[in-house]
Amino acid sequence: MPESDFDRLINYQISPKENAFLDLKAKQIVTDTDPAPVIDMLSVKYRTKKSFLDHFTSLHMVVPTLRCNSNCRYCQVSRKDPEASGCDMNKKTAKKIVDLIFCSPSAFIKIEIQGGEALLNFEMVKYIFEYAEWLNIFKKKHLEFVVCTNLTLINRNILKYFKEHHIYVSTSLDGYKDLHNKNRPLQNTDNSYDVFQSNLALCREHLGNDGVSALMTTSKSSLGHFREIIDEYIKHGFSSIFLRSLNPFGFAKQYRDDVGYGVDEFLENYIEALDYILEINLNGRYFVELSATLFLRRILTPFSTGFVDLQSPAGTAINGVIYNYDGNVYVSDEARMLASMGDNKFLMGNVHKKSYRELFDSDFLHTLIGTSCVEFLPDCCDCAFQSYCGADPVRNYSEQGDIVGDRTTSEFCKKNKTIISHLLKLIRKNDEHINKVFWAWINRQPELLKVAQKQL
Amino acid sequence: MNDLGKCSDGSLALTDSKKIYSKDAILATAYKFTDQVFIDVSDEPEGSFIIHFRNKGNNPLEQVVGEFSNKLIDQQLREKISKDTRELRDVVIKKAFAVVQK
Repeated sequence: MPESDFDRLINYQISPKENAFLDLKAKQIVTDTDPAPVIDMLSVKYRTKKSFLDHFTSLHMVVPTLRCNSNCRYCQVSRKDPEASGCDMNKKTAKKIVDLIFCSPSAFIKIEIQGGEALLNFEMVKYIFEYAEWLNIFKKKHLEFVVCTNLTLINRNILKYFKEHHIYVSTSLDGYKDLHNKNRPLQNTDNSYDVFQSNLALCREHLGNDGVSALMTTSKSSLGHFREIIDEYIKHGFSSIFLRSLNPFGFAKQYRDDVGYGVDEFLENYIEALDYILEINLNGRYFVELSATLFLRRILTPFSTGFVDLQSPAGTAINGVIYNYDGNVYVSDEARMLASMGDNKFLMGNVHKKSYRELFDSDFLHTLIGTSCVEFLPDCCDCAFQSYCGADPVRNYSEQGDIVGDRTTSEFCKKNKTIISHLLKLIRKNDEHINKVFWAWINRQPELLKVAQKQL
Repeated sequence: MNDLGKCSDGSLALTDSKKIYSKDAILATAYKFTDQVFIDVSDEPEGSFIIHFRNKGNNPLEQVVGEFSNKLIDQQLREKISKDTRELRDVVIKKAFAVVQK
């Protein structure tokens, strides 16, 4: 809206017959009639945005072992050696966990195996999935399985099993060979990249291209190399990337000087990378930046988005939860990482000692959720970007010592505001080619991407 | 405006108006600094609180008082927002847990 129109609007000088007023009236921002039906419409919009609350916990992360054969510099879970003992899940705990998972009222259940390196306890992984499949004969939920793995222990037998049970694979690719090896060496070799590359091909042979996805983690060494990282993802046939910053937990916090960086550095790299990805799309190749897409969906559509790390109220426990090898249940993976550093603030309880209701309908959780809505947080409550953003009480606590947090010094807030501002700037250009790229991302429809060669 | 005075024993006394800050906000803020300084809060009849700060460690007292004043604004705001949004918050929490409680 032109600033002159805005000034006239807020000074009640705009006529209800003007186009500027009528546009806003169509969006229920102003009205010159009975406000009751307008409020009803706004209520529907608000309920739609919050409809992720209808389902309760759908993402259940399970950690069958803390043992790992990787030696990642920024490990956030404070892994144990492959030969370590006392950090593997037993069948009794696994059964109890799966029983609890199916207590969730959600019609959609995703069981995501994490670690450590999950395949070091593959027998337990199989047990968890097979028991879940058996229970689901009676529960009849929409069930999905994911295994997070570094791919080093993948073989044809495991992949055959994955294919039979419709299991997706999520792995890590930090970038080109030198960078990936620097960030993610294995315990017995620095060259994890070659193993990754060869086993990725094997995975695709059995599971297809869409059966494997990859995530990257940005370390200090990654900064200045986002273009090369993106090119590496394209080279390996991935059609998306999630440019995410380092979480302040585990070794990442302990070795911050070595692997960490400030939010300004990350943002500078992110904006440049996003522009590069847009250029790739405008040149005809569909390639998605996933965090931008999440924000775009919130800005351009009325629909709810289920991203547990950026919701209001926070998705902690009520959308995603994690069960550790010992049966401890945490509100999020980041909460588990805090616990691995000795802080059990976000421990919900243990599956052997508490019932489903005691774990998921506790006063602790009610309080946590009640203090994690952006509508009720200082600064967030007045923020123009409120409906696009979310709260992360675990991160607030980790970085600022308090689950409510202080937006004036919050790197999380700065990051989200900067990215949202940049996207709004791009939307405001009203460039039909960029708009097409955005809608192709939002709708997951590469075929929408019919654009002429264009340089940004 | 807050008033900061130095006492003969080296402690600092911060005067905060009751028109701006509630007792709860002052106490909640004071609690956060009890690891750094000794704090004493007194409720004065003239419409203000006086908060005495005595050093516990090596932090410059003026620095602590400055941070205290900033944190007090934050705490007061939290109290206000919590009061203003109580009904909506209760609705959202009820909605979030409704399906579990069925």
